[in-house]
Amino acid sequence: MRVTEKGATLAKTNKHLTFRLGNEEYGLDILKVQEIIGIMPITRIPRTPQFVRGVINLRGKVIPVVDLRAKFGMGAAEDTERTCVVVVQVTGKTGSTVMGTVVDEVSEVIDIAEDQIEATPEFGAEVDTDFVLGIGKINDRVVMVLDIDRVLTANEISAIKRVATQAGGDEKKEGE
Amino acid sequence: MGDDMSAYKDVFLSESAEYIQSITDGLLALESNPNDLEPVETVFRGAHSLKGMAAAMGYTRTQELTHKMETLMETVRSRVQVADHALIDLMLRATDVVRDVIADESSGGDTVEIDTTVAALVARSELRVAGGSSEESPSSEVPAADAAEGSLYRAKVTLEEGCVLKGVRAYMAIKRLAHMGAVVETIPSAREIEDEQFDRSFEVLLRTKTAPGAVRDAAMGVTEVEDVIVETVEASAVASAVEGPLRGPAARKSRSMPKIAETQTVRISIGHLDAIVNLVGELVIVRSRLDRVAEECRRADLNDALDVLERISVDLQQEVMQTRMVPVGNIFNRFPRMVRDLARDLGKDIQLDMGGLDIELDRTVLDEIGDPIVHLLRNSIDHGIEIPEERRRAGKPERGTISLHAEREREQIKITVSDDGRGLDTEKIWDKAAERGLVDRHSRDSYSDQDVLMLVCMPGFSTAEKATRISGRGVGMDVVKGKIEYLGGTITVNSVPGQGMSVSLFLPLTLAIIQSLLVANGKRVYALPLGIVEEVLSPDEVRLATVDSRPVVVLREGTAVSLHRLDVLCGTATGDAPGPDHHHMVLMRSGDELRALAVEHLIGRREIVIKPLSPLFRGLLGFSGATVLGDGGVALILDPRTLFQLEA
Repeated sequence: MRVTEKGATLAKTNKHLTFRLGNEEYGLDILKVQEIIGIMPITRIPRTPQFVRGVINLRGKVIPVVDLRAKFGMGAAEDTERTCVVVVQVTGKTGSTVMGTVVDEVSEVIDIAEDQIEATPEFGAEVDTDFVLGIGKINDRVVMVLDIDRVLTANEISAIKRVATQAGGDEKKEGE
Repeated sequence: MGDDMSAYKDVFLSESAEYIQSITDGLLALESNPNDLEPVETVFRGAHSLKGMAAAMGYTRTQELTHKMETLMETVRSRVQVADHALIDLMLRATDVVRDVIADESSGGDTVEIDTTVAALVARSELRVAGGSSEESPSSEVPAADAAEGSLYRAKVTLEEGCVLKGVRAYMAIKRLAHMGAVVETIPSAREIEDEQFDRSFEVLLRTKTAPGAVRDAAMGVTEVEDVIVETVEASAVASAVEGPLRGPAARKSRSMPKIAETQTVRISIGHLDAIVNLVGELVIVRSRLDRVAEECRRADLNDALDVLERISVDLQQEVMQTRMVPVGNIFNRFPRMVRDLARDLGKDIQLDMGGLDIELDRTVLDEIGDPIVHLLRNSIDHGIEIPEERRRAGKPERGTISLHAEREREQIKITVSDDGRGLDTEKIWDKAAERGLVDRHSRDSYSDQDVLMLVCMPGFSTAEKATRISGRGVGMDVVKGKIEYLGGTITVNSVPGQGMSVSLFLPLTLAIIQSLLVANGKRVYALPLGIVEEVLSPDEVRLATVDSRPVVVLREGTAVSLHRLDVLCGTATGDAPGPDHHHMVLMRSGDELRALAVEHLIGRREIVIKPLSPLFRGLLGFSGATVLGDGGVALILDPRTLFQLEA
């Protein structure tokens, strides 16, 4: 069973997949994760924002891939052999869809109990923290627990068209 | 029983839709020829079958309503009443209610009310008393007039094993026999048969003048009847000498014909079909991957095996695409009713001619073209065909004709909607277009009449003097055109003022797998639908020029075509990219215009499987989808409609 409502997600499962972006560790409800694949060539779609890396061929299905580093405003990094695409099922208002998220490195699956998760601190209007469910503290580790359904919404991509002209111009190298 | 019934519901729903369609068809046929008894039969049988099936499903409202419809049709059948317009209207309305009430009852609802319709049907049926018939008994029990004569037969009817709606099939078989004469007795009783209290076979004692072969054929005509054995119990003086019991080899032979036709059709869910098409798509992709591997391996045996694989997969693909093909008649069949109703509302007399109903189109295409065709028909009804007086004054027959024809033209399907109405006035269109600011009023000379006609497809154009209930609701020809182009098709408009107009839609046979031209800029590969590619020019054939400070390609005949660089459109242009004189030019149609697209490399023609882009990319300009290449990479499919908007 898939639970989409914020909050309810945490009550249902404690298992989280953790991964790294730079020096930070993030967690993701394991029920959202379909599979983890190594980085592969990504076809960029012109005139979409930087955080949309493009599309890949996942066994015949063409799915979009999002760069979480770009999305979270972190500096770009070279893809390494540890770079992975975590394939997740996201659920929005218009139904669910499958997409990939590029992460630096997948760590492990850990239990994060509800009482180990603290509410996200407010960073002010500058920082969008909607997609962070909370901050998990396990022993001395700090894990940002993501609400993947909110990381990328269709509205955001539709809005892309307007900013696209500039974004498309400085297209980066493709993963080939 | 409830659980069993729900399993039969799908069967019931799909069959009832067919009966409702045949009732509608029959009523319309009857309306155009009130003396023809054949459509009466069709409508009668349709209502009757629905009644039986509804009874088996326990849908009492459907049962009652269809029973009343049957009763009314019986008065027409026995020529007590004439099927005038009012009667047809009433029956059509009742048919609509039947459809609603079936939907209601099958979903367990209780909202659709039938009393008004039933009352109207009963009232009309009772008109026959005034007409002078004294017959009291309801239709179903009326034997043929002289049924007391003839031979007495025993027909043993066996249903197929696993027959769904057993009681209904039996009931229908008995009804058919009853039409030929008098049913003397059934074993078990009619009541028990209706309650399905029999195994697989039952017997009917029938007195009729009809030959035993025909009796057998009648009962065999019912779906899921496996066999019918007719024996003569008591021959009439005339018939006995000729015909004995009909069974054995002759009987088997005659029955094999309809059986084969039936078992050749299987109802299959659309989901399965789509899954199969997807899998075949995968196969096509893997095949092209294997081809690449084989090129590197250079092994004869591998190549041989691949040749065979290639043949098989091509055949398989064709077969699978064939399963998705649906005759256009499936959507056309609802139009006669619509045309009739709208024409009567407007006080017009219109006949709809349809042709090419058996022409097949991919289901996905077919689903999309219903609305555009409705729109074209409405335009013809509302604006095209004149009212009878006006037509008479113009020396035309009072009854206007709209025709809807489908035909196959090479790899396309052409659907034409034409009428013999007032046609389009090019000058009026021109004025209107100029008024709306769509064209420069003084540039009339640079437009052919054909060009002017196409202006009606521009957004913001409507020639209707006033919006009516039927058309002019804000959706115009531009929506039709947009839809057709979205499907990869084209549209043409023709007209002769005073004599009518026609609109032709050219549609691709399928959407799932298309022929494409693969092009590349650097390592980025793109696919162009081959259907829109007019010509490809190599760099040394290209003559470049500038018109109004915009780059153009000058074609052999001297025409200038605007030049667009794919790398600029895609935002991938870099400073050191070669100039346009080092590019190949793909001349392609984008809407009505011819444009030249400059690309670095031509890879070649490929059959590609279209994969939709994620819904996250809704509204994306320039690309209509993606496809997986032989090396597993993804190539974007260029969308000729929106590609050039990227330039803005």
